[in-house]
Amino acid sequence: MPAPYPDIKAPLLPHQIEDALADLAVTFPTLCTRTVFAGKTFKNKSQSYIKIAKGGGVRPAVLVTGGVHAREWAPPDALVTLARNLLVAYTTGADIGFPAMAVTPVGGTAVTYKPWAIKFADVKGIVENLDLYLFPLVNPDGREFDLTPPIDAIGWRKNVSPQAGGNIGVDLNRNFDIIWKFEDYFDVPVYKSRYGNTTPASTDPAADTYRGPGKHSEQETKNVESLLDTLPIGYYVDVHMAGRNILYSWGLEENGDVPTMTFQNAVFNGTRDGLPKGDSKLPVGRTDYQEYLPDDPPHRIRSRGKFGADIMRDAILRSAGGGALPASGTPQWTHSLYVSGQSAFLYLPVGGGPNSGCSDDYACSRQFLNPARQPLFAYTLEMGHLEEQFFHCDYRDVPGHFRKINREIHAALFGLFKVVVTSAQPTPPEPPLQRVCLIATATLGDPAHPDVRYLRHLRDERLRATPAGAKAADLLDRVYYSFSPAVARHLEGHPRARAIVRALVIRPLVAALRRLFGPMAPDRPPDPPDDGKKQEQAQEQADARERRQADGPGPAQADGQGGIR
Amino acid sequence: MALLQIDATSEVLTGLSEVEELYVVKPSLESLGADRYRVGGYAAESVIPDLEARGCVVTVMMSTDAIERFNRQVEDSIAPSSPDV
Ligand SMILES: [Zn+2]
Repeated sequence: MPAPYPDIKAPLLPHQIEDALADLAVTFPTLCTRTVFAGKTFKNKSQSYIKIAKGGGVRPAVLVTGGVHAREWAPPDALVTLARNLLVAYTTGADIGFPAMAVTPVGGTAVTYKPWAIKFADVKGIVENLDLYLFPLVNPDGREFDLTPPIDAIGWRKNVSPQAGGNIGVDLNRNFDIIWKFEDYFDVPVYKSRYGNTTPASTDPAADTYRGPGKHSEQETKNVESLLDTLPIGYYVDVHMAGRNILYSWGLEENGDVPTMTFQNAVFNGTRDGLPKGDSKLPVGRTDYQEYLPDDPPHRIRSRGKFGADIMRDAILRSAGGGALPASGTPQWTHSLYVSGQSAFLYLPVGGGPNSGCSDDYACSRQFLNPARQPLFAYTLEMGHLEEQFFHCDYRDVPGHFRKINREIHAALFGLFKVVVTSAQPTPPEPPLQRVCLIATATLGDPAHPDVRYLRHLRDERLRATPAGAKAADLLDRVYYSFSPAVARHLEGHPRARAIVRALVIRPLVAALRRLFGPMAPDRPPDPPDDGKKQEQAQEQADARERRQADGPGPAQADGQGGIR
Repeated sequence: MALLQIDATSEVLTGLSEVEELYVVKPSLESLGADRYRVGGYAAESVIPDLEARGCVVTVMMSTDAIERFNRQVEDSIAPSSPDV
C-alpha cells in the first residue's frame, strides 16, 4: 500500500491490521522492522509487532499495545494510523497534520476543533532518539469475534479460547503474571467487605473478567509479557477504551513508602487489604498495606509516573485547542478533559478497587524483579467516552467519534514520546545478551562458572562479530528470554531441578557449542590444550559443589547458616 | 440494549451491582461534585424504572433500536472476514 494512506473509515479486521504492519515494514525498511511472534492464537492467527527507529545505540524504549480487549475498536486502528503517520512524516519531512473537525457527541450538538499538527522536528526527534515498539492488536481472535455479525451492543471483551463448562474466553487484562492468584495476595474477605461481592478478577469462566485457568495461560498474554521481559522498555502504554482516564501504577494497591511492603514479600500474603488509606473497613489492629513504589532520587518513580500521566492529559487538551490549552469550560475543554489517577482506586464509587493480573502492573513489576530495569513507567489509557458510544465508536465523518479519539491517542502518545526523548533518559537495563545466562547461572550456581562465561562470550563477542551472527544472537535472546526469568527463579529454590537441568540441558548444549565454535579465545592460554583441561577442572569443581547442594541441606544449612548459594 | 447515562450518589451507584440486567462501564465514572456521580452502562429500556426507583437519574443516550441500526451499518462497512487458517 503506497503512502499517503487513506483515513480509516471502519474498524479494521485483524488480517487488515497484520497486512498494514507488514506493508509498513516493506515500505519503510530502514525505519520499521516487523517481528512475528512464534506462538499463534487459539484461532491460529499470527501476531506481530513493529519497531520504529532510525539508527541504533542505547536509547529509551517505549512499548505501546492496543486491542487487549476485543470490543475496544479505536486503539488498534489509531496505532496503525500513528505508525503510518510517523513513518510518512519522517520520510517526507512534513508535519503530521490533523485538519479542523466537527464532532457530535451522542445526544449533543457538534463541537468544532481547530486544526492541529505534530511538528516535523518532534517527529524527527522521536524517530532518531527513541526505540518505539508498537503492538497494535493484542487480541485478534476476540476482535474478529466482536466484529462478526450480528455485532453485539455491549461487545466482547475477552479472547475466545475454550474454557471450562463450555464457556469461551479469558480476560487478557486479568491473566498477566502479577498477583494473578489474588487470593494469595489479598485478604479477600476484607476486600469484599469494601467492594461488595466482587474480587480483583473473576474465577468464573463465564464472567467478563475471567482471569483464566492459570497465570499467563493465554498466548496473547505471553506475547506481551515476552516483550516486557526481553526488550529494555522504560515506558509502557496499554491503550484501552473508554472513560477519558489515564491510569498510572500501581493498580494492585495504594502506593506506599515501605520497602518491605511488596508483592514479592510472602509475609504479607493473605493480609493485604486493598483499601485506600483511612478506610473504615480495615480490621482493627491491622497495618494498612500499601504497595511500595519508591519516590527517591534519581528516578522518582512515583512522582514521574504521575507526571507522565499528566503530560498525556494536558497534551490531549492542547490538541483539542489546536495546540494551545482551550479555556476552561469551553466545549473543547469539556469534551477532551481526561482524568489522570492511580489505577487502584479511580473507580471506587462504582465498586472499582484494585485488580489482579493487569498488563500495566506486570510492566511496572519488572523493575522490582530486576532493579537494573529501573525506572519503568506503565500506563493504561481509557480513551473515548459514553458520548462517543464507548467501545463501539462511530467511524463516519459525522459524528466523527473515531476521528476525535484517534487525534487524542496521537496527542497523548506524542506528548509522552516528546518527554521521553527530551528529558533524562531512563537508565537502560543491561543489554539482554549480558543477562542471557540467567538459566545457566541459576543452574550452575555461579556467574563465573566456565560454562556461563563461555555462553556469554559466545553471544557477546563471537555472534556479535557479524551482522548475521548478531541477528542470531537477537533471536537467541528473544527465545531465551521468553521463559528464562521464570525458569531461573524456579531453579534458585530447587537444587535437584538444577542438577537435572545442568546434566540434561546446559552441559550438552555447551559441549555442542564448543564443538561448533571452538574454545573461548580471550581465556585461551599460550598452549591451547591446557585451556580445555583447565575448563574441565573448573567444571568438575563447580559440579562437585553443585552436587553437594543438590543432595539437600547439610547440618550447617539446617542450622540456618548456609544456603543453596 | 440501550446506552444509558446514570447519575446517582455513591451509595446508590454501589448498589447497582445488584442489578443483573445492567452492565456498568466502570471506567466511565465521573464525579459531578457533592457526592453525585455519573456513569454509563447498557441495559434494556425495561430496566430503567428499577434504576429510577433506586434513586438514579437515567438518560437514554442511544435506544436499543439506534444501537441496532448503528451495528448493521458497521457490519456493512467492514471488510469481509478472512477465513480461519
Ligand atoms: Zn479495556
